[in-house]
Amino acid sequence: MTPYPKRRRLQCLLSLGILLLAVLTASCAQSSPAATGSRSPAETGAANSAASMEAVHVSYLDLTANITDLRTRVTDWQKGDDNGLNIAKEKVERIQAILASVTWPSLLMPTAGAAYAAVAPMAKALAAQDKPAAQAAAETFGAASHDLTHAFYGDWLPTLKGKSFTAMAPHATYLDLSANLSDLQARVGQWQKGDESSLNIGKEKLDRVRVLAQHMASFKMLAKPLQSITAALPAVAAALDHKDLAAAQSALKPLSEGSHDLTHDFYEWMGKTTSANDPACIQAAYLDISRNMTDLRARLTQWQQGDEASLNIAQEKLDRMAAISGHTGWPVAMATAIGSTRATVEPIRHALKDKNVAQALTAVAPLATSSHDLTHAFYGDWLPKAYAPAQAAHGMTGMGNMPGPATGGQPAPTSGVVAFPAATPVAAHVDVEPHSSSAAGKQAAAVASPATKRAVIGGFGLVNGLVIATAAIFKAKTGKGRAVSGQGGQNS
Amino acid sequence: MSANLLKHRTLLRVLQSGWYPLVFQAIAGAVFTLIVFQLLLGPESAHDNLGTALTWVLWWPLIPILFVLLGRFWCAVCPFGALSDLVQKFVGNVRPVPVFLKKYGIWIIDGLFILITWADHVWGIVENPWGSGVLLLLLTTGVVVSGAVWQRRAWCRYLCFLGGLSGNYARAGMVELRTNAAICDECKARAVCYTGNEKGPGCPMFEYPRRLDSNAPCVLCGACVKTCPNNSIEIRVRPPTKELWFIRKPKFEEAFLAVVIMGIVFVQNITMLEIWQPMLAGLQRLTQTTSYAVNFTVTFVIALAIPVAMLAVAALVAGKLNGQTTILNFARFGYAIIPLDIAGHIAHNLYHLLAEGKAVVFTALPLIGQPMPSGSTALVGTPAIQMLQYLLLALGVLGSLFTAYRIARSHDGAKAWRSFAPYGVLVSVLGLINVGLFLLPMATRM
Repeated sequence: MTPYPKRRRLQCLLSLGILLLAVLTASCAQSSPAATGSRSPAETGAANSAASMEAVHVSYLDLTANITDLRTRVTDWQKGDDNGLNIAKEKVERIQAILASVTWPSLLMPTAGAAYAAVAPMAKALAAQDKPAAQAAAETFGAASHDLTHAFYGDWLPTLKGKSFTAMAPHATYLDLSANLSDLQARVGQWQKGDESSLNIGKEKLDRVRVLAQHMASFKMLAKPLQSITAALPAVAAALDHKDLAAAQSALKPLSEGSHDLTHDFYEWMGKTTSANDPACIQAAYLDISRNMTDLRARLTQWQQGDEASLNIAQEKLDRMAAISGHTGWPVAMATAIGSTRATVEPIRHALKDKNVAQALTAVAPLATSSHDLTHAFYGDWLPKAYAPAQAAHGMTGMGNMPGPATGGQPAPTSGVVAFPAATPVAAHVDVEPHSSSAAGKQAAAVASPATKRAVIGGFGLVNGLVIATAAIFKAKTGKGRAVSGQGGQNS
Repeated sequence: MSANLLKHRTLLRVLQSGWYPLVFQAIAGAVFTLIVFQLLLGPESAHDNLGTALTWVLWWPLIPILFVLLGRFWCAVCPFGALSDLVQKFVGNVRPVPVFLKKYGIWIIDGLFILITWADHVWGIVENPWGSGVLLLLLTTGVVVSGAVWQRRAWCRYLCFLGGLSGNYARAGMVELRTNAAICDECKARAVCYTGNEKGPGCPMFEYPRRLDSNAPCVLCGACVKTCPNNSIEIRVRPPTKELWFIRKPKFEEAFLAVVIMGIVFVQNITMLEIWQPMLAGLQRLTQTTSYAVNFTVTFVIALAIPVAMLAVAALVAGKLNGQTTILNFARFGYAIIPLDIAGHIAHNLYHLLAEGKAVVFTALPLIGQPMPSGSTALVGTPAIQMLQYLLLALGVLGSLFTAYRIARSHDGAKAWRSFAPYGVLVSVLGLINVGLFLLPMATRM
């Protein structure tokens, strides 16, 4: 066997070195998931399943609203309002349904678990009409809700910063953002009136607005108002930090304008699009439409009482109702209630156009029944089963990742991250096509798991290494590829 | 004839130096490494990813401007070109480029360009750091294979989709590298500019500089400046679009690429506008499917087909008037679309550059331990950007109209207006469509 010339041996050695480097790169990529800069599924829970982040978000909103209502109703009942007792029972059922419907991410599990643990004592207390026990359970709910809110905005939501929306509309985030913007302005107003505690709450709201605006940044159709809002935040923060009321009021003006534009652009977008038949979309749409139905009725009452400004606001609310009802792919369980809601829109619109108060009040009357039916259809028929197919697909029981029927007296989770099954992507979302933006279609590849990344990077390293090694071997065997003899140039 | 820039000793020395384009390649290579690292292993959100910001907010908007100002200078310093050279130097088998590639390379480039644009929308590349990273990995593998197997920069000449784009744009560029015919006629150096000598390699783009009459295959790498023993190489400044006026052998596939790029500009604009949502909803009703891939593909095909069909109709009408075949008219006047392509491309990306430009700094700050600011990423206001966009489009329309006229004049002499008329209408309509698209609000990338 003729030995390779020294130069060829060097080339082979070099090629082997490159191959080794490629393999090392591959193995390094495999051995250092932390280097990816991404969190593990256990850390972010649903965050890593972008598909379920909206489900978690909208369920959080629904849950905290119902906990607040429950506590109010329990307090009313304590004060002698017996009607509050029945409504409180309904609220408990809804809280249980919400808690059990979605897969809670591990970061929220301890606090969601604490709320879940309070369901059974509250249900028992209400059934037994035991006021002290109900009060104690209400306090537990209050503490759980408080902790959940901090975990939600402080821990979980920031992990989603900038993540792309998947199949779901940014409806939940919009609702949350607009509510916090409104609260922020209200808190500054209360601070102006001398309520010092509102200053700190205002700061909290500001932080939430910041987090939510960043989270929503990937929704491009709202880029402009979101930019205005984001740009206005530092001035508000500085004013609140320096306790400068005049500066705060001044800084709130652009924020208020941004908030107005956000709402306008959001419903305009909604009016032009149709949503996927996705549980999170439906849940967000339900929350929004029911809020607007309530607001509409309130505004019409105010208009009747002489507040002319309420007429225009009522028209806006009606437009939003129409936009939401047309945008959403409502499930069969809610179809009847939504149908009767839609049927009220045109009569109310005509009445408002004619500025006919009596006609408007007549037209809006069926809305009370529709709203009631819709709520029952939502919590009673639809929500308990809404996420079930996805959970079943992941071997779950239809109880989200809660441990079992709350009213069955299951022990409360104490360390949710360990005690509950790992957060699982909601598979029902996977096949749902996006409806938000051009980016929506791109999101199929948006989140690659660390394992996929390791495999892909390693695979590329290996392939390139093999190509180089093969080329080196061929080159050594054939003797081709030498530089132009005696000239030093590279091309022959 | 304009002045030869290489008469300036400093520039000549720079190009003759072994450090050119090595220094630029080293800088580009370092930035490229950072970008790849960020895209693959950095933040998953495009909003926070420096790789995304550097690639799609800074580089992609600047690159067409660079092509107009300096031709394919970018290709000389491109990290992929450098990688190809490196692989070839150590393990290259320097086999001849297959005839298939030489014959159909531009069609492959056309296809790749269309495929990558389609994949960007359906699978996510631009707005997804991981997708962008995987695209770079795929290109890297292609470059490695090409460098390991074939001669010279086969990748850059026959396969690189950006090379096809830059080749077309560079034709309208303001700088050209040519030779002094009088000196070359007397040359006894046996084509060292093609084969290389001790001072440097032969032309990496398979060109014999003496016959070079287009910017499309020249990457301004300076190899011929180094190897030419007679200082015959000249770099001259010329009016933009001038090369397009006198293309002797127009190629259908290059004209096709030019007009397809117009369609791609349409697609890129449409899908970033607010009207895209209602359009998508309408398409869903029409196709009876909510599959984004299906609905986007329909839009994509239509958007690409519209300018192609319009050019074909213009070529057909022109053929009736000037007596030439439709194919020849298509190929000849397709080049006239290039100025409008460039204007549309720059105008579209100007929005990303100027409205999101600060994102480059914002996303870089966390790398040095600083918090990422949350303020606006805009460098200038939207009205200013829109004004610049309209100005660019106006220049593009004028450039395309003038180019079409000059092409007509160079071929049809006194009957130039007959050939020009259909293309004048075509360019005006394409310009109006572009203006219409830029009137609508656009979304951001970051």
